Amino acid sequence: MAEKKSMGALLISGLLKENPLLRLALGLCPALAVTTTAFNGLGMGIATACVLLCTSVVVSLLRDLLPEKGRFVAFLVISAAFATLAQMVLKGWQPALCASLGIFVPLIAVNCLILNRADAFAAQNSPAAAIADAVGMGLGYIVAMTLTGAVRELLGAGTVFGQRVLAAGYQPVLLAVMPAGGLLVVGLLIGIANAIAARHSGKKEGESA
Amino acid sequence: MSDVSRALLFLVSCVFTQNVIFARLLVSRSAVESRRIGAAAGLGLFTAVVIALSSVLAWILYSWILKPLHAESLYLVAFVLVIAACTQLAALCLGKIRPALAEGLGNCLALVAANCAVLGIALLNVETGCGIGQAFLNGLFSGLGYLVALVCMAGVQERLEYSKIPAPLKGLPISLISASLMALAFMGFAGMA
Repeated sequence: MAEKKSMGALLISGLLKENPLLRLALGLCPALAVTTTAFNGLGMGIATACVLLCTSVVVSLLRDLLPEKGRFVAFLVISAAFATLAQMVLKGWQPALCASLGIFVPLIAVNCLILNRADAFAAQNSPAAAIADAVGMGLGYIVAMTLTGAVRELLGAGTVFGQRVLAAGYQPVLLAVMPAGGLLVVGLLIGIANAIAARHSGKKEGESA
Repeated sequence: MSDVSRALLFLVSCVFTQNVIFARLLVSRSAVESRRIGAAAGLGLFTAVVIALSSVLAWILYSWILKPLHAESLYLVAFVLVIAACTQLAALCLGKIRPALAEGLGNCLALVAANCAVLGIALLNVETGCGIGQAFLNGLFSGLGYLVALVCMAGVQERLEYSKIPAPLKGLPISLISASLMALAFMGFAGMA
């Protein structure tokens, strides 16, 4: 089924219909923990997307060599290697961002988005298809992470990307930037995405009938 | 302060104020979506054992092998392998001791190797640069905190089954929202340690 999709369809479905965070609920852990500001969400999203792309390509190139039994461990080692690389690049390029993301940069190694795509897609498909899937999923993840970060920053500080959006007298909802707020905002965003998807599919059925 | 009281404070901190799920947010889907308290306790205990085991082993590997060899940059790959080995070992032991439970958890056991709580605790030990004693206690107590969190969430899930939930929030969203309320409750422990 997935193999018959064209490259463009793969790209689009990752962005909207199969958005990794909001529709498939993959990569939950960093989405809850580090999205206190839109910039943090964007940074984490980009780092994860890069590791996802590299891991998918390597897994897809090695797909005939990987044994069935030890496959999962092989995926873990490959993504850990690229996560180490991402951590080094981030430390040198954006030291402040790297410090505020903390242990969640090395934790990219066990991000279930990356492991799921390696297992469910890259291990069965050609490198070109794996790249299209990884780019689509990666972009979808970046958008969802930035959105989550923007919502939490807006509620918790009245700013988005450090720019003041709400009036200066706005009383910030501190809860939004605390751990409990992360769980709440992500839960509600997934709920909203579910509602939109249900309406969309309802409309489609109505048209065909 | 004596060592014992310090250890007790650390216990309260790891289980309640800095709970690995509700405060540190090292959440995986399986942690908020267990449906039965019994199964959650089984999986929680298994994960707790893996956290405790890999926390110490990862610390030993980092401080006694990688550091003297100046190969610190390999720590992530090394930790992932240690955790995978610990998970396999624990799964084998569980299969021998409680075959029925191991059978029931099935696929969940292998996925513990990719649980962010396990790697997260091992990474935190390196980040804080603590000694082996604290690494051991951190693994043990954080594992306990994981078990507590899983059982709490399974209790909520059992009640959710009988409540009317708006259709779009069914499944994961309502689990996350109830976890958020649980995190708020756990914030009440702030200041205890």
